[in-house]
Amino acid sequence: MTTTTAPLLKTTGMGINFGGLKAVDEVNLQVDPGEIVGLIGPNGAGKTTCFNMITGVYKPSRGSIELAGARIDGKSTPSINHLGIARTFQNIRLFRQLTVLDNVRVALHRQAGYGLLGALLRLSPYRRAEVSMRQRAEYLLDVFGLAERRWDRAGDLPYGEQRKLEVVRALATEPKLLLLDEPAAGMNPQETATLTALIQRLRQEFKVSVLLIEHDMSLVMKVCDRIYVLDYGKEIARGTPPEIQSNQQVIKAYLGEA
Amino acid sequence: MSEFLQFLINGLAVGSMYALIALGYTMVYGIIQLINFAHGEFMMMGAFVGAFTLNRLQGTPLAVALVISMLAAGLLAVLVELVAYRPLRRQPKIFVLTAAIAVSVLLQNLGRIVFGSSAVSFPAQFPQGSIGLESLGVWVEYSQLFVLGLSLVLMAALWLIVHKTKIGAAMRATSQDIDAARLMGINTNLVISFTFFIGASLAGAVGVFYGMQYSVDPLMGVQPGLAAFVAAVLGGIGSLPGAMIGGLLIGIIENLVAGYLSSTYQGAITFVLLILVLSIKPTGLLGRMAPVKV
Repeated sequence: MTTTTAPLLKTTGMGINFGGLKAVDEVNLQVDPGEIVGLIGPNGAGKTTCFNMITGVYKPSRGSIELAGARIDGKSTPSINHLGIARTFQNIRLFRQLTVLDNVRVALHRQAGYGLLGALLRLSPYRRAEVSMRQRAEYLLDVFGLAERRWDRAGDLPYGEQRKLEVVRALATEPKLLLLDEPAAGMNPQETATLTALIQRLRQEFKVSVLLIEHDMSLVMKVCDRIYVLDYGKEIARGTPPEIQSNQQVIKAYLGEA
Repeated sequence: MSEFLQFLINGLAVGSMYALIALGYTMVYGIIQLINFAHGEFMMMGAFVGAFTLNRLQGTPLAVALVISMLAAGLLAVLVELVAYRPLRRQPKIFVLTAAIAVSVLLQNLGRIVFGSSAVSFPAQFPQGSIGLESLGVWVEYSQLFVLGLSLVLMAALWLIVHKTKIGAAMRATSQDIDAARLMGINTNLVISFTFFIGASLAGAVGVFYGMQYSVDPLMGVQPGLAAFVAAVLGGIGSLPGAMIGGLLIGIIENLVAGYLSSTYQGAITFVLLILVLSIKPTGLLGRMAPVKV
């Protein structure tokens, strides 16, 4: 008998139609515990749509999605988050009017074990929970170099720090799998280098697996263990970074017919 | 001078009630961008429940009746949202708005059927009378003091809920980006229900305040509801401090107009203000531009 650990994320024949259009068709992704997996492809290939199906924003028309062996397709977005999937967004979607600290605390709030009455009467479970949440939030901000910004409004942060804060906020929900949607978009090479180190740190320090959409190929090739390539909603290749770099079909999809 | 101060005090007493109702409008708008036109009816329901509790169950303390009214109004709002608004949430906004108007008319007529169309009054709760500030020549009625004091307490409680509790944090997050909030694990349906509950329970409390000073009838929510709606717009819809300031301002302006001009214009001035706000500063005093959702 062989013991196999269930893959953390597994999509089988996942697909969705928008009107008559098959936006995503027959996508089979797998992310094992501890893996960093890339999802690349030209614009409009359906990458973000895959993220939206995995997180329950869209309901897939076909196929199944499993998290650690249990079906999650059809579950609500908040409950999928509770089960252990968090994400960031291609276009940053922080709670801009809230402080940096509150953005993280909101994401932590599920872990707080106290009720409304306790909060109003400031009972000790409330105070204890608040203190530990505060510490956790401060710790996360510290790790990502945002501690000094904690009282700033999230919308006032420079672009690169907003991207980082999105990662911190997602991480605060204590996911097993983190979906990063173009984390390096709009970053300069310096910021991208920091981000690369940060993604590797996510796996080592926070024990999360990562599924990453990214157009910056140097980043993808550096951090990913394996890569899936989508084009027109279909998988056209999969493999290790060197395999993908030399794959003729991938080159054709990116550069067009020569 | 003493005349002006008297109008100011009367205005503050009425205005604090408008402010409490306006808070409900603005909270619901902040979360789901809906002007809940049935909001005034939650106040009416709260007033009836309060009046019946005090009239039928002789000896019920006012505080208990107040809490029952707030709970009843809050639960009614949760039910209304669940039955009439939630199914339409993914439809164009105008659908829910129309549903809100329908619910308003429905509740008014339901009130008429259940409670009858003749006015009901509260049993006297306070000794008639007022505290005179002789040197200034103004009088503050006991009931006005009660309303002002309790309004402040309720506003403080709301501030604590919104800023110091996890559900409050979830409310603030949801009002900024409901989809992102869901993806961060926030149960936004619960947050929306809770928002309706809190907003309507404030309106229910106002129903009791109002009923104690005037009388209770099925259409009693219409005028204060509209005044509070204007107050919320004046203060900047979606802004809690805006709703409080807007409510107090409308109350004061109404009383000044009634005092110095004529009470005939008291209602009209509210709508003149609405037109002015919408043409000069559509976002209201403390409002921010609504985020354009693409």
